[in-house]
Amino acid sequence: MIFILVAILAVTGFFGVRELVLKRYWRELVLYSFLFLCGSALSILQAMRIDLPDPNIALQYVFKDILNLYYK
Amino acid sequence: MKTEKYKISNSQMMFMSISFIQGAHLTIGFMSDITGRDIWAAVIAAFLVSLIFISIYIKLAQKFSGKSLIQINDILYPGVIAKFISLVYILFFFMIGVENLVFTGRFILSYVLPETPLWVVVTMVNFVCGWAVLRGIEVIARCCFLFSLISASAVLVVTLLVAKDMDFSNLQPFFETSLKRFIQGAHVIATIPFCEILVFLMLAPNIGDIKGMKKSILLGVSLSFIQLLVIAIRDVAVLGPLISIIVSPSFETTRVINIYQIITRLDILIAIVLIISMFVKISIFYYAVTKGLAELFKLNSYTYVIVPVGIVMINLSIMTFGSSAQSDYAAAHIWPSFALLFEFIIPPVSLIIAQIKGMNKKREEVG
Repeated sequence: MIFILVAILAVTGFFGVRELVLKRYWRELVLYSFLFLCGSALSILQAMRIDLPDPNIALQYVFKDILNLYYK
Repeated sequence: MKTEKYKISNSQMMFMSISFIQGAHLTIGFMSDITGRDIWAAVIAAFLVSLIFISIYIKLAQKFSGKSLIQINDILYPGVIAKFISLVYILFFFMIGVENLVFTGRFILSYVLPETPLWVVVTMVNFVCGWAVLRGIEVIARCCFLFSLISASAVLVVTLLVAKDMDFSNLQPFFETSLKRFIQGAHVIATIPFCEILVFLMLAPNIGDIKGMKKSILLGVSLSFIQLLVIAIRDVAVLGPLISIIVSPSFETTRVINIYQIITRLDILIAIVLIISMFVKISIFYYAVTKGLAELFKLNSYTYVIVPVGIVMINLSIMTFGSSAQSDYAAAHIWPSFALLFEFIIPPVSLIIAQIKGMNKKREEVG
């Protein structure tokens, strides 16, 4: 399953990067690569069934526990 | 960044506003737990408050004719502060997009495809939304006419079919909810369906007639408000005190329909309405995020970041909230406080700064 995922990500990334390199859009390439690598890393970790922290927990912690700015 | 050539007409803007807010008609279902049978009054209060802030958003768009929220921030705020505010807004829109994607995915999982893994459903939904974003705002704007009509028709059909089961005495006693709960309900409804119209500031460069924008958006919001109000009153009239404990009141109301044992189980209508309405909402936020990133980082086109943003959205939607109960709690108790800054504080401050800068410029010209 992970191999299929990596293959799909690799193909998608290859075509995306190829287009940007051919057009010499370096700024786009940097942003694309950064976001794509973040997304790919999360995807592979999810496929490996590693429990990832819920990003909303940070939001709840800030507003509930620190600022106490929430509806009780 | 190259500006798209397509301009959204006033009528398309109106239908986009209607479709956008229609996407929230089931999300207000979780508010019935807090406001109980006074949900209809909370909808009215939320609408009246939202009108003020929506007018502020429109005034900002008209003052900076043809400029998106990112460009407006660049004009109003100095250097790094402008970039920071813009980035934070992009993250805000991204979070709303993810939350809506999660909601849609969990809804489809609960009511339509219970055996399917969440990631499959979310990937399919996001793929369609990403495709619409890739084709441009033109596609989304044109679809909204048909989608808003389908949604409104479905709501009308369901309302007419349950008319015999409605008992308006269920609306009584009026205002039995405490003031605190009522304010919370109105605040959430103002935050989630209505004031999220703020995202339309990202579409400002694509609007053909900026002056006509006020009328079209306000008309669209008003028509959606009427639909939301009808749904709220209908659900209370049919379900009565049960509305406080049912997870999805609109769904349950539709299940009551039973015409000679032949026309039953019309809840699929609500499922269709929700899915197409959420498609519009997710697409608009997806578009706003990619467009915002393109403008912030001065890219040639927003299309290059559609795929990676989509992958991150899918992953975050799977990671977010372990259950519907957690997401409903966060939406009703935490999210209004978080969104307060973005929807109710920064836009009026931006407008005040714009007015002051405008006045100072006039004084300099006269002096």
